[in-house]
Amino acid sequence: MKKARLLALICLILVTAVTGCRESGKVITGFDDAKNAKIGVMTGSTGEAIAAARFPKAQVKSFDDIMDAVAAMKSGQLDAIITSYPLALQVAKKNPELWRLPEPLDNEETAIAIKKGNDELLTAVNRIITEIKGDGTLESLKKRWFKEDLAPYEEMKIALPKEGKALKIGVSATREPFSFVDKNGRVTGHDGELARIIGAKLHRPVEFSDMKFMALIPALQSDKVDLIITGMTATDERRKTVDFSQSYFTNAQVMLVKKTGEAKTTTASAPVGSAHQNEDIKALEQIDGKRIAVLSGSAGDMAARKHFPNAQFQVLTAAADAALAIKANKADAFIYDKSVLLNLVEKNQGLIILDEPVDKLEVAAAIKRDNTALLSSINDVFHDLGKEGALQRLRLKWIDSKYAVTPQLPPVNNAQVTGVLKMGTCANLEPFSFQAEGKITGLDIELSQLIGERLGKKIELLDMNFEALIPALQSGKIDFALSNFNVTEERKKLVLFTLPYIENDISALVRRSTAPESPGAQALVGPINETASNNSTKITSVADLSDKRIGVLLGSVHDTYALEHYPKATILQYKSPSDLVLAVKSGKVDAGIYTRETLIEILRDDSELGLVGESILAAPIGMGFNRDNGQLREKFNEFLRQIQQNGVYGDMVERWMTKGSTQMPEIAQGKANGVLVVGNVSDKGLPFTVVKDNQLIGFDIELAERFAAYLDKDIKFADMEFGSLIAAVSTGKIDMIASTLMFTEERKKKVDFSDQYYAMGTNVFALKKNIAVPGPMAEARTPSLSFMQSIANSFQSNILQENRYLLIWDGLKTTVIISVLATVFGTLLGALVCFMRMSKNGALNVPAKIYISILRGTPVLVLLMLIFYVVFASVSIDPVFVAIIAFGMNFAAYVAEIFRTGIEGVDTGQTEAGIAMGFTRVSTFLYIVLPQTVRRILPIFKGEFISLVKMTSIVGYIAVQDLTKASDIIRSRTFDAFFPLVMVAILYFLISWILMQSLEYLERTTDPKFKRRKVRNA
Amino acid sequence: MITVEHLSKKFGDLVVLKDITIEINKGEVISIIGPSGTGKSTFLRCLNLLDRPSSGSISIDGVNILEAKADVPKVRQKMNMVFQSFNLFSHLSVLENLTIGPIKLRAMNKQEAEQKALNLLKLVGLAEKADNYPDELSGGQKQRVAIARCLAMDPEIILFDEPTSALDPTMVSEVLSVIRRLAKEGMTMAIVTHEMDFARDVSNRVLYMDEGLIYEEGTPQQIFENPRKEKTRAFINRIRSCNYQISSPDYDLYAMNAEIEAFCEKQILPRKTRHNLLLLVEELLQLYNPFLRTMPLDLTLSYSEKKESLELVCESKGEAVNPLAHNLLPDELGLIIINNLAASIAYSRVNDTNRVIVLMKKS
Repeated sequence: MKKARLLALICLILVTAVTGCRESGKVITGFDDAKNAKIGVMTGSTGEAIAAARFPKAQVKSFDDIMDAVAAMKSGQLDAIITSYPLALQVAKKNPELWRLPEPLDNEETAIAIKKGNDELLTAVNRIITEIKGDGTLESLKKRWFKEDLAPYEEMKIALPKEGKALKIGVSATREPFSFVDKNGRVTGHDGELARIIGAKLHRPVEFSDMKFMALIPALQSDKVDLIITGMTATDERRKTVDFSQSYFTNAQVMLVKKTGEAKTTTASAPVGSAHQNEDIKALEQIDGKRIAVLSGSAGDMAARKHFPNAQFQVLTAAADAALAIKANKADAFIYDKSVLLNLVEKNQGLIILDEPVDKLEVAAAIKRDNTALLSSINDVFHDLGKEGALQRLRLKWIDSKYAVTPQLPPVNNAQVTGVLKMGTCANLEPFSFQAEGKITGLDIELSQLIGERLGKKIELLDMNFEALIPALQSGKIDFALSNFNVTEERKKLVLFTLPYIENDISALVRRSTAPESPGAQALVGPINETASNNSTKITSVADLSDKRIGVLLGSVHDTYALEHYPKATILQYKSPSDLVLAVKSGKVDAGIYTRETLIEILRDDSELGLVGESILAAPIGMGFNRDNGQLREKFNEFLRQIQQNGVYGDMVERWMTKGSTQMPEIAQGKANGVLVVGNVSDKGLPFTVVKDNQLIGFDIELAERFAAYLDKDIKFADMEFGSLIAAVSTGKIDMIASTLMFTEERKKKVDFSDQYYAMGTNVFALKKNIAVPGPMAEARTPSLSFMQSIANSFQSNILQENRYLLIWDGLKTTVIISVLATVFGTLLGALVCFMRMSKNGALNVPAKIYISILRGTPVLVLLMLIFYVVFASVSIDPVFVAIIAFGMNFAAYVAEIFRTGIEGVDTGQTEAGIAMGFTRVSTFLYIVLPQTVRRILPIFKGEFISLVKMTSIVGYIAVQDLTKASDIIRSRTFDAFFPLVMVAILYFLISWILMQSLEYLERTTDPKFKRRKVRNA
Repeated sequence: MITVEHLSKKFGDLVVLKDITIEINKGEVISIIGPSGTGKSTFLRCLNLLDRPSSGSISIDGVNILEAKADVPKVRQKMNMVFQSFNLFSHLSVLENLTIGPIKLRAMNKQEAEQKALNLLKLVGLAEKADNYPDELSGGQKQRVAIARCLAMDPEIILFDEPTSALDPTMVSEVLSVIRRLAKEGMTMAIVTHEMDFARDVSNRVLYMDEGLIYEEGTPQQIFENPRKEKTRAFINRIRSCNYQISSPDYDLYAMNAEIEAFCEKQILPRKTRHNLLLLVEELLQLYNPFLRTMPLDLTLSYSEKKESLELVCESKGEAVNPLAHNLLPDELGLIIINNLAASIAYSRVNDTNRVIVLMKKS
């Protein structure tokens, strides 16, 4: 009885202790919680400044890389991390236990850094950014790279010139999704692609230098790189040292924290801003007293201040920022020209324009004050255009129609040109004046063409900053300006305005009101609300998919099907069926669409997944052939007919499809007629293709093998990704595709299909618990992974996936090369310095002494950067070489002193005896002193050498990809500290150990006693 | 064979050798004796140019080796040296120590060199140690190997720089025997030594060096039995002295006592004498104490083996004062003790110097 009580007591204490421990970790749900928290920031980042300013009481810790900070947070050393939005997005998406506080701390302009004084490049880059902003490239970049989910990135292929002077781009490729290294070792990401776009526009090849973030600006200053494109924020501090282009991305600094219990269920993938439910604005009068965003000096600014005197104003400089501010709940409304707002609404689903306009403004052309002649002639033109309905047409075309594709400008009629009119415009104001496909277009531009035609003048466009337009008019640089000029009293004092050619509404942009129910509550409601866009509603039939997240295989027919049938759904494309199934299982998508046959196979083993409804699509499948290889196709059709007749085919269907057999029959392969190369996807899934015991098996495989046997050919399978099969067959890399290829019109254009050999069903599948079925539901829970399994997974993702071990292998080679060559160079240089140091001649020993004190007194990292960025500043030089020089120089300083100690440690009597015997000084040194020195110094030399090997881990600062850098790159992708670090630690140890063994061998051979022992033993 | 003329050597301002002129003939065994620090070793090292003379000339077979064009390493091969501290090459075995010279410098083949080395090791009695390393040998063995190493180069003359000074007394004779044997075989040798008996027996000629000069030279009989000059006589009579200077009342008593004790030990004085001497010095210094600040004291102890007399001389420069005079004493006790220990006490004033000579009573 007593024992039982005691036991209970112990249990109680234990439980309290455990729960107590758990509670001690700080949970942050808002900025207020972060006041006294431990906050991680990136060294030198703006986050650092923000943390210091906003959370003065917090413990701020600086990290070099985001992954270090994430590792620290995961291990409980941090409560929060302040970093930029895309990085936070990336981290949160790979670490489900972390999430990002929805409210941003600050917004920053991300821009490209260019060396000061390089105005030519700056102008060119600015022009390109304006251009790609205008034509939507930038928007597309943003969409493709900054995603919330784990879907693979789609990188746009950019053709770069091979010839010409390379544009050197500095990146810090551990900043996914801005810049990171892909599986081929290329620098990619948002900025990688942007860099290539810039390269392509400048007609120059692009060369990336991947280095530590801190090393980028020095690299730029020393001309090691031409541009820095790596999600760098344009801070005032940085502006002092480098020039920044105009911003290409507005980056929010957000706070990343650990998930709390509730947060997990509600906000994991909620859009920015939804966590803070503010009062929604539905009418204009509600705006007063709220936070209003305006653009500095705009007409909207003035109108807003006039109409809403009680509001709090936030003055911003770009419309996109204002939209972001509203979305991020930093502001409640944005008051600006309606036409611009319309555009913003198009691109930001969460925003809406209030129907009632705040004010009306007239838009007119601006003309120099004394140029009344031009004023009257343009006024005449406007008058005529108004009468003809041309102005109305323009408005309809550019503003009201909400065009999806940028409208074309009509061709200019240059028939009776008698002069030139210079027009100024600011081409970043869609739809009035903006860049599309490299040209300035928009309503104002089309209007100017009309003016030119009517006045018989050629219009010359000058794109300039908006603020520069009025000064340009005053100084006569331009004749008139069309740039969505709102007529204001202020401006009237400076320039003349024509008649208004358009009336512009000033409207308020606010957040779209959200559904009142909380997502959690809705999941319990029985009947499914079709209109509510909620992710956790159950699926009863395929029709419910319309607004869900659907996973498909990239490039598959399901992809096309899903796009056509569920236009409102979010369609996520996966590269392999296993990824797709995993996505469904882990809830990344609500349902997947895939081949029925394979699904049935999967469901045999998986109790969590279930099919939704019946087959949605029956698709004939066939083999794919090169279009020029009709002969092979005919042979196959013939073969197919034959096996269908003789019952072999029936047997195959029976075995693979009906019985679910996994036994592959032995098929004797001929060799007589060469080799048949068959493309397949090895993880397609049963019953078609799968790898079992390292052997390809399945229906497709058997069919292909039988066909090869029929042709009396040997068979060779080329395992590739589904997306590249068609390309492979059309380029002749493979002879045929045997991979359940469904017939589509699109594919028929590229390949020839055989006769149909099977008709395949397509089914929707989802987690069983998400499928609404009457009756008892099978409770299936994902078992938490065992320790060994998680190790195996980690090994898979860190080492095997994307061939990451190759990165490590390359890094290993670099580290060994640098270590060994630096040692050799350092030893030789050290011997020289030692010789000089020991010389009695002041001209030799003083420089040696200085060399030794300086080199030993400076950190090798500083030396490394000095040599790279200062000494070899204007020379294009392999950084590995620089590393060898720097480490060698440092090593030499130490080694020189080691040598000297060793030499001086040899008794002078030894030298005297040698000399007295008749040896010269040199031969005395060689035969008598040196052998004794070597034996003496080897132990110390070994130690110094190990330090050198480990010291090489800093070469990442000068864009060398060594072992440490390789692990950084991997960690930046996987956010898993364990494997990359342990692996790299082991490798460093191994390098040191192996090199050590060779030195120890040398040590043994120089030890005379050892030599004698060996002789005696022999 | 070797003619040295007007050789002098300075280390900075310090003149170690002044104007040495001597001729060494083939087959001669020359012993160089004299007090420590009088340039004996330096003279030897100047001969093979381990220390370069400041002036003068050294001619070997008529060739002046101090000229710039002289092939000094070649000369040294003919004139090998045995060091006080052996200087065997520690990374090489005994055999290799002997063969490295012939192989590297004489281009002798290895087998021949090893055979010759083994013969030489037999000569010095160390053939069985051929495979050992120097740090496995005793001092006497090392020195014999060093001699064999010299012989391996077939030298015309061997210079011995205090070959037994670093040896345990028990090992001295094994080394001396080897040298004696070489002398019998007619090897030309110059030996700096403190072993007087050995010098007398083995050499044709003895050089007594003092104050950087060859103070007296002659046959062993002449130098050891009938030295002409005073210093030579003093040296030969084995008059040794110990000198200690005291320049302040805070002198290091223990260091001084240690030196006195070491002196006594060297002269093999009885324990009692030593004790009395220490007591006498201490009491004398008590009396001198008031004057030490202004007048540094120079203490010299000397012992004559022949007379068995121990003499203590206290000299102090400055005003004429006898610290032992009765009128200056605080009490009589110190003086009584001194009088009890001393056979005689004499005060004299010579050239501004007060000199007190105390002769110890024989105990």
